[in-house]
Amino acid sequence: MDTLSLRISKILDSPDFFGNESKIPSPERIKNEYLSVRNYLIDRNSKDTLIALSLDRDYRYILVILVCMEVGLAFIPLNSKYPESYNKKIKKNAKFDAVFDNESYEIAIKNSKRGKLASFAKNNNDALYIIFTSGSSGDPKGVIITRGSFINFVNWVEVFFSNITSQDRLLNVAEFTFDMSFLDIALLITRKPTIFVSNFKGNIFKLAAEIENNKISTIATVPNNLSFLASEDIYDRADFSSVRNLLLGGARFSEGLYHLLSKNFRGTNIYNLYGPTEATVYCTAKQINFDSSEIINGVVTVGQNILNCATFIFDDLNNTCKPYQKGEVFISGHQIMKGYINNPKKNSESLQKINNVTYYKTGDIGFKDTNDNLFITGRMDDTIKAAGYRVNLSDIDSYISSISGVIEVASIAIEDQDEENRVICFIRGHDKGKILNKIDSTLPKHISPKKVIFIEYFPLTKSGKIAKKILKENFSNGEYE
Amino acid sequence: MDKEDILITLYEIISEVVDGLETPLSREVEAKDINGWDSLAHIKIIVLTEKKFNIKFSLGEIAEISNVGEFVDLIEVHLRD
Repeated sequence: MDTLSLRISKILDSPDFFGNESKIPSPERIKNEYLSVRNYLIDRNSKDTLIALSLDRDYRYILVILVCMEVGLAFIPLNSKYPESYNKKIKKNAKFDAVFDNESYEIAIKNSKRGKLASFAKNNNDALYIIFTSGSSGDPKGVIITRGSFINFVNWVEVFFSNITSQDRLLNVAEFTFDMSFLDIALLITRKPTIFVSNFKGNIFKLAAEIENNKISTIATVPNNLSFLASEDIYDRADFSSVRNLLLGGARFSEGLYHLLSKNFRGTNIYNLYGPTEATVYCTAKQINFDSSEIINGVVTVGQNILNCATFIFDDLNNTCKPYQKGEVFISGHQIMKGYINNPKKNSESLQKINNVTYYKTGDIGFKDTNDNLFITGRMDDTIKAAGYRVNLSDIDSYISSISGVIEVASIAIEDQDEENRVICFIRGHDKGKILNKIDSTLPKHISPKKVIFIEYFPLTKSGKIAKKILKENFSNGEYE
Repeated sequence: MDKEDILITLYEIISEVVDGLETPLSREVEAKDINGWDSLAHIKIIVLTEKKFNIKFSLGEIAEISNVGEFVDLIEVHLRD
């Protein structure tokens, strides 16, 4: 039994950590369900089985993830509410052997076998889970994360978040198809908070009510959800006094949000976390102190490397960049993925061996300060050619987000009839006149947007990131004329 | 203002926020039935409704609404108060 199995067996021995007490079974009943599901999965599968999980979002999904991790059964989390065509794409790509859904759960607990079957043999190089990411191409890629990588992540979580205890109340907001939810799993098995599964389904008022009603202390979410929660339309009518820890990651943390949080959530432990799915949830972290060194040119730092992870900034020739010099972010260490499932082409592009060390090439652009704090400024594929210049859209966002009054910003490129790119910038903020003046007077002409559009709220993707695709479509349809 | 008038005003508010609203607005309609009624639209609809009727909802009230009918009832209660 490895340390991951040991930790999980220990907490499942007395499963009293699920919140929403009136809506879920007693701990004794949950323990029986755990043993039944466990025996069912061991009985019907082998060590090499790859199983897809497609359950409704409630305590059962977490329980089944824990069982798979404990017994050593590799799994792919699916969302039963996603379009069938998307889940079919994943099936075609991953060729999984079986699906465990709500019906399987019911069968498992009805036909319970007595005793506790022996789990599968495990080693650190075995696949633990496979998460599908869409990436910029839109084609889903299955990221294989090993037990060893996740064990390293769990060991870091236990120490770094030592202020989170069994007295805390954690709200799981992220979908299980999004690896941010595996931070919740890691917190659950190390710090043992009470966990509540959110069912807000994009309704931010409901999310705010869940936080208030359940006296939630800890939330791991994307900055955009927090941006909504901290906005006056919601903040002014909610009581967030129970919130002690905000763990932000998965998307850009804007300077506007930074200032909003310093006003509305000062005294709360706020963390900015960074890591692609390919590096097991997160590989750098920073507790925000609202110290001026945390922001450079509108970019909030994502902090320093976590346990056994290393981040590097390389130039085009794979030489290490100097402090403050921008380059592409590469990651090495214990948490690098095993590879993309059934995708040798992508593996050879993304996993590179340099001087015998394997690096994951992130496609992110960033720099480091002299204290080794990492700043992510954009994406390699955000670079466009406009008026003869190479322009990075994220750079424009960084410049603009440092202007006072700007809360959120997103720039897109639109090709006109002459096949020239025009940069259109969307801003949520106050003092429009001042913002426009500042853009005119401070931005170099070649990166200055051709058009600035002020909007009240940004459309978001399923994972809570700004949906640039929708902005582009709406713009092309003349919605912002 | 009776419930039918409230429903008509609500239809105008939702049309303003959701482009190309095609679904006829009945009491049973839910946000998921209307293309474009996402989290962003939801906030806009609530805030515009408050402005239009000069009322203010509590967080608990908004979080509990599950369809247009319940929304109309809630507005009516506020207007009566």
